[in-house]
Amino acid sequence: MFDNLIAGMHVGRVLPEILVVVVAFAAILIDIIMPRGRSTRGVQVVSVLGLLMVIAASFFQRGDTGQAFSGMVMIDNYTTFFRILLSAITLLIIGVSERYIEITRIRIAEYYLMLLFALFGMLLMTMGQDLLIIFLGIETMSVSLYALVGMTRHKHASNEGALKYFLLGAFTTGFFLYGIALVFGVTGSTNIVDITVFLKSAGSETPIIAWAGAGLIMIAFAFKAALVPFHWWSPDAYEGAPTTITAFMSTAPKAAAFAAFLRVFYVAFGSMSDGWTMVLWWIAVVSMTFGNLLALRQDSVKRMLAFSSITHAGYLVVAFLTFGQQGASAILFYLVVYGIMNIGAFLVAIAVNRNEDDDKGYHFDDYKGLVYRRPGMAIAMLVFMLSLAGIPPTAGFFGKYYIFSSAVSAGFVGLAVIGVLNSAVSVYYYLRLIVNMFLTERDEETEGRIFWTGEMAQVVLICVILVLLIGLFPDTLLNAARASVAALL
Amino acid sequence: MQTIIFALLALVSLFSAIMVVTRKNPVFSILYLVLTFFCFAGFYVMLGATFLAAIQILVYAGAIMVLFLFVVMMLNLREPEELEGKNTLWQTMGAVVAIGFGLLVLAFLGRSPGAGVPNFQPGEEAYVMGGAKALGKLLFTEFVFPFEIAGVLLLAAVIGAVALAKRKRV
Repeated sequence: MFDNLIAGMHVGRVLPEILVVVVAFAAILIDIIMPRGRSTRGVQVVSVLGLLMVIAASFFQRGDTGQAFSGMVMIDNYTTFFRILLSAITLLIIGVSERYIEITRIRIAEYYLMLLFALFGMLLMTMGQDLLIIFLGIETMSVSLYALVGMTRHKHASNEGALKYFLLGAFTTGFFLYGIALVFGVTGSTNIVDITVFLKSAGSETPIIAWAGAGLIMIAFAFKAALVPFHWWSPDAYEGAPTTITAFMSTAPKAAAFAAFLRVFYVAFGSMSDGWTMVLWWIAVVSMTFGNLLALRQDSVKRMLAFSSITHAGYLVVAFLTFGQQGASAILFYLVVYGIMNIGAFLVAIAVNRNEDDDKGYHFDDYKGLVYRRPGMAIAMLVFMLSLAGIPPTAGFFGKYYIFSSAVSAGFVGLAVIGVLNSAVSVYYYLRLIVNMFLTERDEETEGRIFWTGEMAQVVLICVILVLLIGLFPDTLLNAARASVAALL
Repeated sequence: MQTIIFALLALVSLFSAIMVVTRKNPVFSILYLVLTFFCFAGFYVMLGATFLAAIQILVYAGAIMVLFLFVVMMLNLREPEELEGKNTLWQTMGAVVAIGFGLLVLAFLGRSPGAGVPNFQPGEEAYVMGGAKALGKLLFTEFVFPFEIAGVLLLAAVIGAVALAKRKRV
């Protein structure tokens, strides 16, 4: 009986997740065993090697699809897509962090450990087929992120950001749990498949309690994806966090949040789409507009990127509420593209920043005449800014094109128009940086030492190449995205 | 009889929950929270989960509350001064949201919960040993994966907390 039980669990299907935990445990041991000065480096090396293994395992396992642990998790193409994306983002961030955590005086191995645990949580979110698993995934990710935001303990902004994020995040946990409880009360299950079956059979007679549950769960996801009006934590947390972590938070957890959001609402609450598309319509509009208006007024590049990430999340919601394959594949495409260009932009921002201990760092003026000092860096930033603004021939253009065309073909023409207008407004602040870099004279007073390492150069180069490659040949990625969402709908 | 006990427990738990958030002295808040937790334990008993009720009292009403009290007394919190710049706009908004939720709850009470809502009946096994055996069986079969994840989650929380709190090594 026991053998049958184990075989029925399909433990092998969650091999990448097990690997992440094993790597994290190995990292803890190495941190204890190795001498103090070198242990941080050792932990980094192990993490990088481990993550390469995780990516390889996810890739080679892509054929073995199906449920595991009695329907608790679902391994399909959709899971594989996000496994590779999230592990790759974590790998890039861990790869470039070594010197950065030295100059920011973090310098402890826990930095890498928390990134690994965050990755574990995110992977659970993308494969969870039970609200319980998604909940635990969100919690594991969030707990790690709270600690990561507060890692630079000598900085006031870091502590403030971590505390705000923690308090509001704990509150959101309550929303999510209450939502699960209500849905469980109606359907008698937390399993997405069972919920789908129940709600489909209820048809138009969906109990009002199910609506309330879905609404509460939506609030929790909107918080994790930093959508207006649940975005209040994000500017402070993004600004206070070490910048590598800001780059991480604005890409990977957002992608994971959308992955779980998609699975829960497209599958479990799919029969209630008439209701939630209406709510999301407004969330999309205010997210795009508010994010833009606030980003316009920033003098700090870091804050500008933080606010603009709210706008980008708004674009994603535009595609989300079309409730179709085209929209879902546009989301996956955009998440990849946004991850690449945003990480690149944040890395250049780290390089140019004058002084890490200065709370007023990351000023637009630091970029004056950058092209005369570091032409390569300026050109890389140009590519990222053009891509974020959505100008061809960069990847960002196709990302936005797919999103808005999915909205138009689903009949949301008004929303697409609002989105394109917002996209035009956002060009202003991205262009402002380009003007500073290319058309302004050098200003000795605002110039600081450039912080640049070989790893950062490699990652920025990879990002530039990918942004241009995807911009020229978007079909490969789009087809992968399409194949992934086919498992969902 | 059961309905009367339930109503009593519900009333006491609601009352004490409201007292938790309205008391100005944190020590009183915590004591009312203990009362709330005891009421929850009562609900568990009514559902036949006596094992869970015992755990609830041991862990929440016992250990965690003692921890809370210790922290509050160590910090020596007095009655807080009036919060600076009392923001009536936010208070009004909070009240509006709370009343809205209250109305929503009333709306639920007014109507039948909808067709085909399953009626849960715990099996015979659930009553043996206060459900400890059934709980354990479930934890290591159907719910083994979430159970293991919860372990990793706690480990992440411990490491994160220690990393933030420990003395800096240079």
